[in-house]
Amino acid sequence: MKIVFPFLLLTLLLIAALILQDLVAPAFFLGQAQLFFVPIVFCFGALVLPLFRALLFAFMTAIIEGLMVTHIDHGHIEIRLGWFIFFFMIWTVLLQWVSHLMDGVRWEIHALGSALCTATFLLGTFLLLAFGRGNFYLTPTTVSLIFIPSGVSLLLAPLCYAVLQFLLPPVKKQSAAPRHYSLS
Amino acid sequence: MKHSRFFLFPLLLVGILFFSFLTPNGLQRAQRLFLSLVAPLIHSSSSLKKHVEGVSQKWTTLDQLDEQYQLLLLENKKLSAENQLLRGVEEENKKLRQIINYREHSSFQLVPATVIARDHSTWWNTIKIDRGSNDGIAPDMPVITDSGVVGKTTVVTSNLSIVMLLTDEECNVAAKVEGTSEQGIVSGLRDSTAVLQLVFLSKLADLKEGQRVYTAGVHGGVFPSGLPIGTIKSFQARALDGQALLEPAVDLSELEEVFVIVGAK
Repeated sequence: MKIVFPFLLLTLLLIAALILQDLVAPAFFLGQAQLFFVPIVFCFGALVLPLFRALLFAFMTAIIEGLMVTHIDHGHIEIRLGWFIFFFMIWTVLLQWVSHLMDGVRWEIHALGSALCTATFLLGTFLLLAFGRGNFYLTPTTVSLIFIPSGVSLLLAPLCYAVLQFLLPPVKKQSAAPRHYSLS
Repeated sequence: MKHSRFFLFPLLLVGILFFSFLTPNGLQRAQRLFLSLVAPLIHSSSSLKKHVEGVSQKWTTLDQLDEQYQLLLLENKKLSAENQLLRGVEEENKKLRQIINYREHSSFQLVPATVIARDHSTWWNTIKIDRGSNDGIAPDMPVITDSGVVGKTTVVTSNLSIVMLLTDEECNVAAKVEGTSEQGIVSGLRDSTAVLQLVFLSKLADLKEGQRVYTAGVHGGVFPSGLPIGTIKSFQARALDGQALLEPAVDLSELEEVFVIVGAK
């Protein structure tokens, strides 16, 4: 139960974040940029869970996000689920490594991670679509559609971290190893 | 614990490989299954959102009156949309009667639907509606409002459907310009949700701002003829063709109720 609870809670939060993303309309005052909550929840999970479970969580995030987002039109998949899995796995390893270097889970890592994860997610999907469709318009609007949501993630992440750490407090460890749940 | 990891790593790898090489049909099935699972959550959160948004309004008006008003509004929109469709059919009828003295009596069956969610992915423009295969909806069916074309259905589950909006780069619609013989393809622009482009026009097309653009209704296509798409904002001749920018007839950012054309009556 001790092992399953954090994972289950994070999964529920992930689905809630996904539905919230769909419900919140693009903000007019942010140049029609969409708000992203999934990277914030994902980064938290990737930081607080031990590596293997974090990878499993990344896998699940990729599948859920991919199934919700991927476009299939006339038998053509624009972005394969493998790209989503690869993206979230890379970010998990990166976040675990940074938290190891920084001697534990810190809100700054979470905030920066959420912002960069959002930006790279949008940039990555943009590039895959650009190559797939054979056109590449990198206009000021496109750039703002990538960087405004990541800026919003940067601002929202500390708030979410403050709430999430009450639900899933990272366990302190004596060594320099990252602070994970003592689940084993 | 270490033993379980020993088995779980290969399992994770198999999972990655399985999902990476899913066929379009397999992925569509997985997407339908996933959407069916989360559909109740999307439905309830959408109603909760609408309820919260309407709280202040409900305090000032009588519930019953508001309900009746909403029903009448929906009925009015449905009739306007039907009227719009019939206008297109009438126009087509006139032409056919003139040319081959052909009489055709057809109209369309509309299924009203409510928008329950918008796609959060920045590069695709889709919405989710609260109707699915249980209401007779299938993929590639036109979605309209009383003002004009909205888009077409793509993924359909039993009680939820995804609609690809006209502003999506991948939603291509054959179109004709009012009062001219110009025809082209309307599609969205990746970095804009408020402008459409009409391409493959002749370079010498004499188009003016404000001219209306309608669906051309090609044989075997998704959209019937005569549905309003938008109005011309500007025109420019390119190396090989002419390109016009259009303002959509429907404000796609404010969509609440739409109609799906499920077939002829």
